[in-house]
Amino acid sequence: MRKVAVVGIGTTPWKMRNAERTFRSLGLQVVKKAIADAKIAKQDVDNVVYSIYCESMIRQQIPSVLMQDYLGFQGLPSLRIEAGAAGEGYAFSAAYAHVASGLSDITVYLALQKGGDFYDFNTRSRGDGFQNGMFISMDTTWLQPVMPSVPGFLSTFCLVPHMEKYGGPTPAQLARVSVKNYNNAYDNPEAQLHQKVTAEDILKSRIISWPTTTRMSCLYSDGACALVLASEDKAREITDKPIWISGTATSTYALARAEPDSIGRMLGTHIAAQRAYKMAGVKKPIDELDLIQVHDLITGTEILAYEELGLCELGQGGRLVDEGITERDGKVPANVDGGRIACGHVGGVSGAYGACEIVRQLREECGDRQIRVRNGRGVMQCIDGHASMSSVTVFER
Amino acid sequence: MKKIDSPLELEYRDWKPEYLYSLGELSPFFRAIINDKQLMTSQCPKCKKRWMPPRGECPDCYEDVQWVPISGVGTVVCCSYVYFKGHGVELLGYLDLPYVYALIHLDGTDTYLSHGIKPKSQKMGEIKTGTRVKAVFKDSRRGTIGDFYFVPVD
Repeated sequence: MRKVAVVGIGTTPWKMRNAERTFRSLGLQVVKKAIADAKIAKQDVDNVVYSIYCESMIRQQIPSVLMQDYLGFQGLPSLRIEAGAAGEGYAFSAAYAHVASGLSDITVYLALQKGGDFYDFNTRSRGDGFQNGMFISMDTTWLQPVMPSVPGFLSTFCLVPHMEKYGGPTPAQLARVSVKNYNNAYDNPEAQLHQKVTAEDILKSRIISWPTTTRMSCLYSDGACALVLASEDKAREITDKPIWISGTATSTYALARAEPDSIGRMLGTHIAAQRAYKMAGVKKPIDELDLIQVHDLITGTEILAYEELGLCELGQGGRLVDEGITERDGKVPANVDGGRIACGHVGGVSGAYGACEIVRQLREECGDRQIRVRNGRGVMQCIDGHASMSSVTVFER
Repeated sequence: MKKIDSPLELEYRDWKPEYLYSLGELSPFFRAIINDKQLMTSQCPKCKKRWMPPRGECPDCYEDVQWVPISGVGTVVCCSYVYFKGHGVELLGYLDLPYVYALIHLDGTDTYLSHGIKPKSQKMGEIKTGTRVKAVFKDSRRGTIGDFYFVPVD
C-alpha cells in the first residue's frame, strides 16, 4: 500500500444553526478552503468521499449526488459512507484506502451535516424537533420505543456499569472533563460556545441520566469540514508539511448485544485502536501520542476512550483527569478544540473536525492554543450512538 | 405582503412517512405479548444460547430459533435514573420522571434486555444492580417492546 497524507484542511465555525447556507453551500465552502489550503487546483482532485450521517435531518435522500454536482466534480467517482456518529471515521478509512490502493491520487473527503432545520411545531422548539427526528438512528425495534436519549443510553450501557466494575470515574472527574473542554473551546474561535464554567456549574446543571448532566453532554450543531488526501508522491509535490495517516481501523462490536463482557466497555474502540496502533507502530500510547481527539458525546465516553485507547488501565481514566494529563498543557491533551461538549457536534462531522484539529496542531499553526509537539503523533477516535461502531486513526508528521 | 430580509425559512410539515410495518420472523414474540401477556426468548437449537432481545436466527450458528416462554422476572444488571424525557418513547405516560433505564437479565435468558422500570418511590437508589423486577403489560398492546415495562418485585 502507498503512504497517504493529509495535505489540506477546511473548516467552518460551529453553529447551533446555520440559516445562512443550505447543506450544499456549507459543503462547498469547506471544500473550497481545503483545496486552497492544499494549494492545488480543483482539477487535480480525482475522487470524492462523503461522510453524511442522516438524510431526514437535511430532508434529502441520496444527498451525495446533489453535493457532487454542486461541487462541480462531474465525472469523478464518489462514495458516501454512513456509520452514525462514527461515520466520519469510517468514511475517512475509506478515503485513505482509495489513495493507499492507487485507485486515487488526490481524494477530497467531505464531512457534512445540518441538524438545526428540524423543528417541533407543537412545542416550537428546534431541540425537540432534533430529538424527534434523530431517534430513527437508534434500533427502532428494540431500543427506540423504550430508551430515554443517547446520553441516557451511553450512561446506562457504558458509564454506570464501568463505574461499578472498575470503581471510576467519579462525578467530580466527569465534571472536570467538561470544564477542560469548555476552557479549550473558549480559546477556539471556531467553537460554538465561549463560556467559562466551574465544576460546580457542571454538576448543578440538569441531570439527563445519572450521573450525566446537561453540561456533561454534547451540543448539537450544523457543521462541515473537508480534508484533502494525497499519495506520497503527490503529497511531497504539494506541501512540505504533510501529515501522514500512519494507521486507521474500524471495528463494529454491537454493545446492544448486551453480553456480560461488553457491558461497561467500548470494546469496538479497544479493537480498532489495537489494529490502528499495530499499523502505525504505536506501542505505548501514553508516551508516544501528543494529543487525542475522542468521542465526548458524554464526558463518560471521553474517559472510557482514554482507557480503551490504552493510555491507562481500565478504571484509571479518572486518574488521568485528576493528574491533568489530558489538559491542554498535559502530557496527552484530549479534545483541545473543545470537543463535542463545547466546540460542536453533529454525527458524521465532529470526528472529522477532530482530524483537522490534529493536523493543525501537528503543523503547529494554533498560536496561543498550540500544544507541545514532541512525538509528532495524534489519534482521532469516534463512536456511534450505540457505542457499537468505532473508528481510530493515527496521524503523524 | 410583509418584506422578508433574513434567510428565508420554509415550513415543512408534510414529510411524515407512515408505515404498516411487518414484524416478520419476530411475530411469534409480539403475538404472545398481545394475545397472552407472555414474554418469550429465542433459543438456538444448536448452541442452546437464549437471546434477549430475541432474534429469528442465531447470529453465531445461523440456525432458526425455537421460541421458549419465560417468566418475565429478572435481575437489574446496571441502571441509570432518567430525568430527561426523550421523545418518541412509548413509556411516557406510564413512567413519571425520574424513572429508571436498565439492563435486565431476565430469568432463563443469556443476554440482557434494556428497558424502563417504574420505581416505587422517586428517591434515587431504590432500584440498583441486583434488584429483582417483573414485567407489567399495558392494557392496550400493539406489538412493540413498549407494550410492557418493569416494576420491582414485591
